[in-house]
This record gives sequence, structure tokens and C-alpha cells, in this order.
Amino acid sequence: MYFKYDLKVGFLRDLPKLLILAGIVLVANISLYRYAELLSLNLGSLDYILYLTKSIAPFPQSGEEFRFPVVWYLQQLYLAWIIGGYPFSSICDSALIYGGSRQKWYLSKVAWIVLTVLTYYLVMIITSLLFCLATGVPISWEINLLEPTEEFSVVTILLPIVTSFVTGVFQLFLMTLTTPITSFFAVAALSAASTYVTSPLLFTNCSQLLKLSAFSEEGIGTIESYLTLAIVFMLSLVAGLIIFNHRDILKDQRDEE
Amino acid sequence: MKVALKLELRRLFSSKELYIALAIGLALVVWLFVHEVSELSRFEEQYAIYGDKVSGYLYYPKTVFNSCIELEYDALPPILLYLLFPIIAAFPYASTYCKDKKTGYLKNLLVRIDRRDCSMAKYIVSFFSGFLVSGAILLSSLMLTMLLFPMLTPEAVTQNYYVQSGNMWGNLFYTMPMVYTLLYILVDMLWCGCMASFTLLISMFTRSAFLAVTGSFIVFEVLDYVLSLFSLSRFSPITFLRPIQTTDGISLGIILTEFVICMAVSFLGFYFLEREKDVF
Repeated sequence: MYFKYDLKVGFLRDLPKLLILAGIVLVANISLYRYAELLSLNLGSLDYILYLTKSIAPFPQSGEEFRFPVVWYLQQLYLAWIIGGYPFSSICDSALIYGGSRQKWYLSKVAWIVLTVLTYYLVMIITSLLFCLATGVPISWEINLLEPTEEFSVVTILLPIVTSFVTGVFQLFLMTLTTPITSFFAVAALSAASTYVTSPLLFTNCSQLLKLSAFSEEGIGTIESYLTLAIVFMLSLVAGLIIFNHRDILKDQRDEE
Repeated sequence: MKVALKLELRRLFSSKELYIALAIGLALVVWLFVHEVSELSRFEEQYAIYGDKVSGYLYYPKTVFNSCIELEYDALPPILLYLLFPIIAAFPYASTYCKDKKTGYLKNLLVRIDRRDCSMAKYIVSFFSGFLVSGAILLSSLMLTMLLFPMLTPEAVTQNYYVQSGNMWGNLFYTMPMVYTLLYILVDMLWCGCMASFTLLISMFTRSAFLAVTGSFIVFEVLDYVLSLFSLSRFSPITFLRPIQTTDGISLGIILTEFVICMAVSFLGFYFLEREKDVF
């Protein structure tokens, strides 16, 4: 019952917001296209997709000047904004009382986050592919933009999606603990900090391809990343469920007022 | 007008959001201060061992003008602060209009106070909240750094300063650094006030405090993103707010023109369009 409600109210209502994401991706693609033309690089469609989650190499170990990864950061920020806008906007609705289970309500929100994250990345991929088709960039699985430092599989490439999902669940937990604004602020700060400091503790590092050992010698390993994400996911889920079970919803309603 | 202003100011100073925003900013200031002091003490230890040629370089101490949060260029706290300024500035007060609409408090208010006075008071206090929070954070960093670090006039040849002489007010920085720093703090305070006021414009379209407060942040971030991809970062408020001027071509003309446009759009939108709406 809850998931149907989330699908109808949360997911479908937020779909138009993804048009802005498509715009953001398009601008990034145009920028990469101009860059590739300038340097005569032969890039394929996968390069255009990976460029969106490339970010920057670990700092300061890479020895390069710190350049803030705006492309990656804005995508994370926008996803956090979409996720932060829905779950607790409906808390005071009769849906929670009508469904009769707080646990199901919370788990339904987790399922909604999975769906939102998958759709979010799907929009990014489709936009990039359409851009490649329109500009004549070859549709290929070759990677020319990044230089792998070790053997890697599709599991590594999927890390940005998994990280975004775990970050969403973590944000939901923070929303339960504090307010949507505070949780959004915390995720924005966490993401910004992870561009500067490379550590599995700042788990949003795992969604930046150049911060992974597959593409950077000083990066975080794939297994290490999945392990960290699993721990954060479990802790966020369990703590979120416990806190939400004991939350005084009437008080929340008064606070919002 | 005076009554409305007094009421709104009282609300601002009694809101816990104001103190949370100040606490976040001050935590970043203290974090940077501890980082800078530890760097300074490490350098002092090396100086005691190797004399004035530490690691082959001529000794040049850390000063106020490369250690305070405005002018430090390679630590995390300033990056976080300047990136999150739009949300820190909007957090204390700017969501109150949304909450007032949602709860019906606005209706009660408008029975007693003229709508124009109410809107004007909200706009002024919203601007003031951003102005105040940013000023408190930036000035406290400057004062805290002045307690421990020397106020040496910057020397460009030491390459310890990020501001270039070709930057806006670059010569001022290398001759009267305190004037430069204070002037830039004033620019930041005005812009943070402007960002907080911009939230009121977004409040017109939503009843959600979350969307209102984070909306202006998203708008400024998207603007920064689009401009940076086309090498036009000098026009982005998020970029030109940093006194170290991370990009070339920033000028007072750009800063003031954008400030006037942003203030005019938010004021005209909020003051004139919103008053046409029927709250009852």
C-alpha cells in the first residue's frame, strides 16, 4: 500500500524534476565534446557516461592542484535535493495511519529511494547516449578518457549507483533523526568534503571513479568500498527504523508549524 | 512598518536556526584555526632544527593573510564554507515565510499589519539574517587568527598568497591587506544577504520550507556549474565570493551588477507580485 502511494505521489510527481538533470548532463556532454574536439581525442559513448562520475584524483597525493569537481558534485547535490524533498513531506498525511505500520512505511521509502536512484542514473545514461547519437560520437564500450591502473569489472563501474543509493538511505536516516534541511546540508557537506579527503569513512568517495584504485593508485579498493557501503547501509537502515518507530509524529507536525 | 520589523527581528533572534547556522560556521572557523596552528607549530619545530632555510626554502611564516578562513587556499574548511554559504545564509530565517503561509500565521499577521509593511519587514530581516550570519563567521575567523598569527604585509615573491596583483584589488592586498580583507568581507556579507533574500522569491512558489531554503542553494550551484563549464566562472557568485579569487577576470562591476539584478528580481517578485495574492 505504502509503495503504491510513494510511486504515485513521490516518484511520478518528481519525474519532471529529472528534466533539469537531463539539462545538467547535456551541458556536461557539450563541454566534454568541445574539450575532445580541442585536443583531438577519440572518445566513445561510455566515456561520455563515465565523465559524469569521474570527479578528480585523490588530493593531494596526485600532486595536482585542487580543482573542485563541479560536474560530479552537482549531480550528487541534485539527487540529495530530490530525495530530501519527498519522504517527510507526506509524514503528516493520513497514509501513515492508513497503512498501519511504521516499519513498512520506512521500508517503502527505502524502496522509493532505490527506484529514484535507478531512474536518476537511467536519465543520465539515456541523455548521454542521445547526445552521442546526435553528435555522431561512436556508441562503444571502450574507455579512453580514464586510464585503468588495474583490472576492473562492471562491479567497479556500478559503484557510483550503489553509493548514491546508500547515501540516499543515510540521508533518510538523518531526516528521521533531524530535519530534511539539516540532512540535505549534511549530505552536501559530506559530498564536498569527500572531494578533498580520500577515505572510505567519507563514503561518497566511492561514487567518484578517479578516487577508486581501479583508476588511481592512491584510490580506494572496490572490495573496501562495497564493505564500507554495506556497513553504512545496514547501520542507517537499522538506526533509521528504530528511531522512526519511537518518533513522536504529532510533535513533528507541531514543529513544522 | 516599525512594528512588523520589530516583530520579525524578535523572531529571528529567538529562532534556534540562527544559532545552528552560527554554530556550523564557527565550527568550520575553529577547525581551520586548529589546522593552521598545528601547521605553524610543525614549521616552528623545523625552523628550530634547520634555521631559516627549512627544506631548502627561505623561511616565511604563516600570517593572518593566508591563515584566516577568507584567505586560506588549500584547506577544507574554507572550501566547505564558501560552497555552503547560500544554505547557511538562508537557514536562519528565510523559510519563515513558507511556514507562515502553511500554518496560517500569515493570515493572523495580516489582520493586524498592513501587507506592504509585512512584506517589507520580511525582506529586510531576511537580508539582514544572511548579512549577520556571514559577517559573524568571517569576522570571527579574522579576529581568531589575529590572536596568534603575525600581521605581516604580504610579499608576492614568497608565493605564499593566492591573490595575484592582477586580480581585483590585487594591489590593495599587497599594500593594505587588512583593508582588502575587510572590503571583501563586506562584499560577502552583502551577497549572503542577497542569497537569503532570494529564498523569499522561491518561497512564493512553494509551501515547503525544505524546497525554499535549499532552492536558492540549488539555483546558485546550477548557475556556478553552467558558467564553469563554459569558462565563465568569474560571473558565478559562488566563485567570486572567495576573497582568494580562484579565477581571473573578477571585477567590482560584475559583483555589483549581479548584486543589483539579484536584489531587484527578488524584491520586485516578492514585494509586488506576492501582495496581489489572496492569503485568505
